[in-house]
Amino acid sequence: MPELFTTVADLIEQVADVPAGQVRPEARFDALTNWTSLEALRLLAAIEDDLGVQLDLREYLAVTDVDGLVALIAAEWDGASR
Amino acid sequence: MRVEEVLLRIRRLRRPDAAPDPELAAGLVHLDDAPVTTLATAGRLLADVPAEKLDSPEFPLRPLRVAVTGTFTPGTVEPLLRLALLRIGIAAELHVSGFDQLLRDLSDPHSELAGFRPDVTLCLLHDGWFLPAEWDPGDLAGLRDTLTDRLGVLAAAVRGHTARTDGALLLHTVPLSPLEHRSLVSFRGRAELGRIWRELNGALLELGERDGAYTLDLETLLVDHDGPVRDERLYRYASMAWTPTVERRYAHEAATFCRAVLGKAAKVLALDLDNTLWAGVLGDDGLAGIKLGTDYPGNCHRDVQRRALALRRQGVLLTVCSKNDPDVVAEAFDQHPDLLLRADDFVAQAVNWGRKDENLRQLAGTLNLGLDGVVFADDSPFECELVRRELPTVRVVELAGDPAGFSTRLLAEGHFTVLATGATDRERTELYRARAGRERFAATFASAEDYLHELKLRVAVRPVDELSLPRLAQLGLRTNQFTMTDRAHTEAQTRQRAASADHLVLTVAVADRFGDEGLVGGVWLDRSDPDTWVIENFVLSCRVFSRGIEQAVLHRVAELAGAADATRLEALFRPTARNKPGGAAWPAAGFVAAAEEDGTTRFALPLRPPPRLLPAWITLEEGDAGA
Repeated sequence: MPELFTTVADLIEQVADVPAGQVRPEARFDALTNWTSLEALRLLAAIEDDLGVQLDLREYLAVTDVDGLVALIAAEWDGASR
Repeated sequence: MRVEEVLLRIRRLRRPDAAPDPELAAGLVHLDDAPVTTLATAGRLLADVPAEKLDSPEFPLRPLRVAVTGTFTPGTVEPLLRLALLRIGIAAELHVSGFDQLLRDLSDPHSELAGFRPDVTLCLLHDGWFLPAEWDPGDLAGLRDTLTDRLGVLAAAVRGHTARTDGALLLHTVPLSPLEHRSLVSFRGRAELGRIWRELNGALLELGERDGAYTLDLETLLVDHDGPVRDERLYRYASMAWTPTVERRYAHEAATFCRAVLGKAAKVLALDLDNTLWAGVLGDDGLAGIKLGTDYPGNCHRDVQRRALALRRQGVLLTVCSKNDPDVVAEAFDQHPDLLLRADDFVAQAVNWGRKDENLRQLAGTLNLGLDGVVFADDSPFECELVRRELPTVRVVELAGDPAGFSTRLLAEGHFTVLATGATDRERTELYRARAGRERFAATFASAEDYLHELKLRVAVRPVDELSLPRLAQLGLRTNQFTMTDRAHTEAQTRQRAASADHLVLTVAVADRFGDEGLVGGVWLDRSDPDTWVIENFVLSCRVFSRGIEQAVLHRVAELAGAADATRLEALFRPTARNKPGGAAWPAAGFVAAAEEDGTTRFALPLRPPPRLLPAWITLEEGDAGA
């Protein structure tokens, strides 16, 4: 899953304009600079656009850190391929 | 410029000590095909870049104060709008109100929006604002009254705002969510709801017919939009009524409106002819051979003409910018039965073999209009790139791909969009024709050689083979302009010569950084006299004129003859009604007319010392050309 993490981290950096490298697997969204619910929704749109998944908004909003988000997308991929 | 490079340059400019980047604003068009997330990112980053770091004489930026207010959360409208405006030369100061501030913003003379004193106010509307949450499907008359009330409230706010300010205000028609449509179970009921909703949109359109208010018909524009208008999750969670791609579409249209407010609509459309106004090449295919009738693909080109004519009737000045023989073009406009455009529809014509950037410069000069008011439409990537590069202010419409999409491409950008047209617009063509006269444009071959250098032209001259022989023979028979005779070799004659030791038949292939043009020409040589090689015919497709390719080919022919110890190269030329461009090649390459008999001129060139004909911007590809 390292590639998926890289993709997600890249999108987070784009959406919130956080400096490269600040986004680590254990990073919490509420600790990122400039992170508001608007950024969260922008990230959702970017992920769905880029990775071709459709996430459940409730599950997405419940995610607190980057690792959790990567796991959610991976689970959605698994579900879709089954 | 690639997308990554544009983003990198924007990021670089955000540093306080960054040097200005005068090419960046014009380069933003390179983001056009990027995903909407990338566009939003670019727009957000640009918020921190001062306009003076983007400004340049070639692509001047105009300031404008633009306010955005609406009935829903505007999501990413702000960055998308900032980008869409900069892309067309407007450095806007933006003021964006939050969720559902519209009524307050417009009616309160002391609102933050009023204090901002906008030149343009964009009003974003959604169906949920007009519809009561609990409307009764059994009482559509009651729904209609409610909608009328809501519209009355909006209209009063709009009138208050337009009365107090001299800025322009943009409303739009509102698409009704299919969810509401399906909430009714009967076909009759759904139809009635549709009618009531269209009455509302009709009233919105009417609101935009006077004072400083205008209405964008968004409902119509969304007909060919790819995907839903709203994402139900974002709508329920954050009151965002538009998906990012709808926001992008709106931003584009709103930016066009802003340009119209600034009076910067384009005034001139410069049209290419071959494969733009008709399918085919007039000089080669002839009057009867070009296609523009009622069948595909001719009907696509005919539709381009129809749209151009419509533009003319609304005050846009049409001009021709074509590499062609002016007499042949004049004949076509005079005689072709299916042409919708006639010579009188154009205020000026630049029909010659010169460079198109030079011709556009002259056209603008003759009309006394700036190049920033010129739109250039052409199917050739070569010409489009040349003009983009040499004249960055000219707006280029590249008619690429299937001709069925040409009309859409021509109009989608909204280059000609103005706020309103009047009676004088209809007569503008006559006015300018009188002023400009029937000036015929002289061919100018003055070269911006650096462009040709950057094209990285590669020319390969090789003996014809089994595979290329039928195509070469076809090309030889079909070429009318760059050819030396009206008696081109048939396929059988070409085959005979290809097999004979006394002859040599060569193909010419061209490639540049835009791609491979493939087989574009050929040379038929008689070398039965080892001392004097004779060029019986030399043909070249007009697609590749004015790039020095003929010189490169003759350079290789001279090399081959020289290597075989020939001391002299001769060329035969029989003038026809059309082949002036072909005949011009010989004097240009240093050949001298040596004899004339039976209507054929014999040109000659000594091979010692070896002539140096290869232009510096062309690479001759090594092939097995010596065989």
